[in-house]
Amino acid sequence: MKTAEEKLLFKVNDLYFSINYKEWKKCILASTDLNVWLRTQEGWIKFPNDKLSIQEVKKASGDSSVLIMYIGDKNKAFLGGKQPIIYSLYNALMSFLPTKGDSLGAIKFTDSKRLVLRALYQGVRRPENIMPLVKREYDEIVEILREFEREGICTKAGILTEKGRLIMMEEGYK
Amino acid sequence: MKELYLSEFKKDALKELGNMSASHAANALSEMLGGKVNVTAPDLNVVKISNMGEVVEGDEDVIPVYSRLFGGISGSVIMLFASRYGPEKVEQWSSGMMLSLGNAMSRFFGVSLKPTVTVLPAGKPSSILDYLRSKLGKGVEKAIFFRTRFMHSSSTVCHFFLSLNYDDVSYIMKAQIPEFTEEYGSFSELLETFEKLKVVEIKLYDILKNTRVPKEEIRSFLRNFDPDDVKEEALYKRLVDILSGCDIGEGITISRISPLELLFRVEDCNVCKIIPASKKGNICYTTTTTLGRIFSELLGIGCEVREVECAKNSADACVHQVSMEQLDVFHVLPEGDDIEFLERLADTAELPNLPSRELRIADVYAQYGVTTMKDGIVTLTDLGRIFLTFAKNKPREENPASEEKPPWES
Repeated sequence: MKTAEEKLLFKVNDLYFSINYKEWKKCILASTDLNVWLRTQEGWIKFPNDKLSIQEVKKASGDSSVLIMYIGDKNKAFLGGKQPIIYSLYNALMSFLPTKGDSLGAIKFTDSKRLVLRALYQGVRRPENIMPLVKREYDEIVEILREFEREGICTKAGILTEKGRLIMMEEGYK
Repeated sequence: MKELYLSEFKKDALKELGNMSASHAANALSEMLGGKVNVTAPDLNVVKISNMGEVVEGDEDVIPVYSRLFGGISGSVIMLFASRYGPEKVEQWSSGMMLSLGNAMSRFFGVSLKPTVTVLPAGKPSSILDYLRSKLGKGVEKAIFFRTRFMHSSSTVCHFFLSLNYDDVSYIMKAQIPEFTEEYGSFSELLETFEKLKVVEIKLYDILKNTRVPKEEIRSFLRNFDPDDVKEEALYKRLVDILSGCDIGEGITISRISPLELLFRVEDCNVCKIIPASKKGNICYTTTTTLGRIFSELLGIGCEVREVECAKNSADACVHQVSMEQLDVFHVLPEGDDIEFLERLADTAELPNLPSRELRIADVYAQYGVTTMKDGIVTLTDLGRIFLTFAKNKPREENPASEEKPPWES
């Protein structure tokens, strides 16, 4: 139970909580000046605000979204729910929790991997050519290309595999 | 007649307040009893004063305690102790419980609460109805009852009710919470903040779900660099309409600071009003995420959004900078025979004396660094050559016909 010294900021019902994105527990979130509290069937869990940072909101299946947070530097926590609720929660938490790794005050609605994948799909394959097109550092692009190669998304020459083409098609042309 | 109506959200928050009160009272009782006290799952209902019998139920004899909280906020606590404990213990326990509860509430609301405790004669629960009606029912029709039970060794020690009438709720909702008053205003405003943020998100959700923006509209906007003429673009008007439709604010204008960077200026920002008493600057995250979602989900253009000025920071307006992903802009930019023209440019060192139509194309691409224009001579840049590879391999849009207006609309 929360102690009396804490000041309740807001409370959100109908959320789902996970630490591995596989097992989800229905929960209620109460945000105070000191902690974010989650109540699952097993009771209240406390996450001190100074240990939390927000990463981003990702779309999930149906009308749902998932808010991705960090507990400390390494442990991820996921909060899922209906889109408007998750985005309201995101906006409310943003007013007092830090964001993970972003430049001050800026929020990214993009993903370097998506851009590199599209560049490859449309025939731009060399990192030195991808670099001015997607406006990212050379090292970051090389790292993404290596990851794509490891995951069987593209060949060493930067040609998309069938798996890579499928991923690109699933993402759709926006 | 004062009508007591609370939204589900406020009811939920008052339930939390009830939980806090009950847990402090239960902790105090636990210390006095020297054993664990369990609190049963609470409920909260708005009840007509005339139907109070539904709340004070049961037929066993009880020792009722009525306590009124005064000082900054107000409320009533009713406790019905099992009669086996006797009036002396009940008086001692209830005083201790109310002291602990009052201290907790005082800290929460930053007020100095003084609870009065009245132990009534033992009797059936229904016997105190008249007394409670006289205390709770002056000029009001309904009251809120937060109800739970305190259990010790599997038996009920007491029924606990936190009761709030119209005036009590008004006091609580207007109460200023120390430390948070600066950012969120009164308790009521604090509660409404999330509710209002949710309304914006629901409106945005509906818009994103039900709106399709033709590529042609996006393309035309991205190719127009005339600061006055761009205001007539369909996308310009659509963006302004969406933002005001989501209740982000009024007096919205869009300007360009570079080909890939736009400024959205909101003269009369509602988001600032949603967090009413904030003195912190740059707090309009709702606008920031709304813009980000419109661009990424509706226009298919990834971006980074930052609030660069905020009315809460004494600026004239809230201003948000949208930095668009070049690749996504390049994906949608080409039209007609652009690529053909750029290919010709790639094949020759330079193209002098271009007709005005091609000069206009060259000018658009010059803005994005794909071409350069000097003394009427157009050349393709290094970026332009990469762009050409990218644009030539652009897959056909799945159903371009759906973007064209039918004959009777054009």
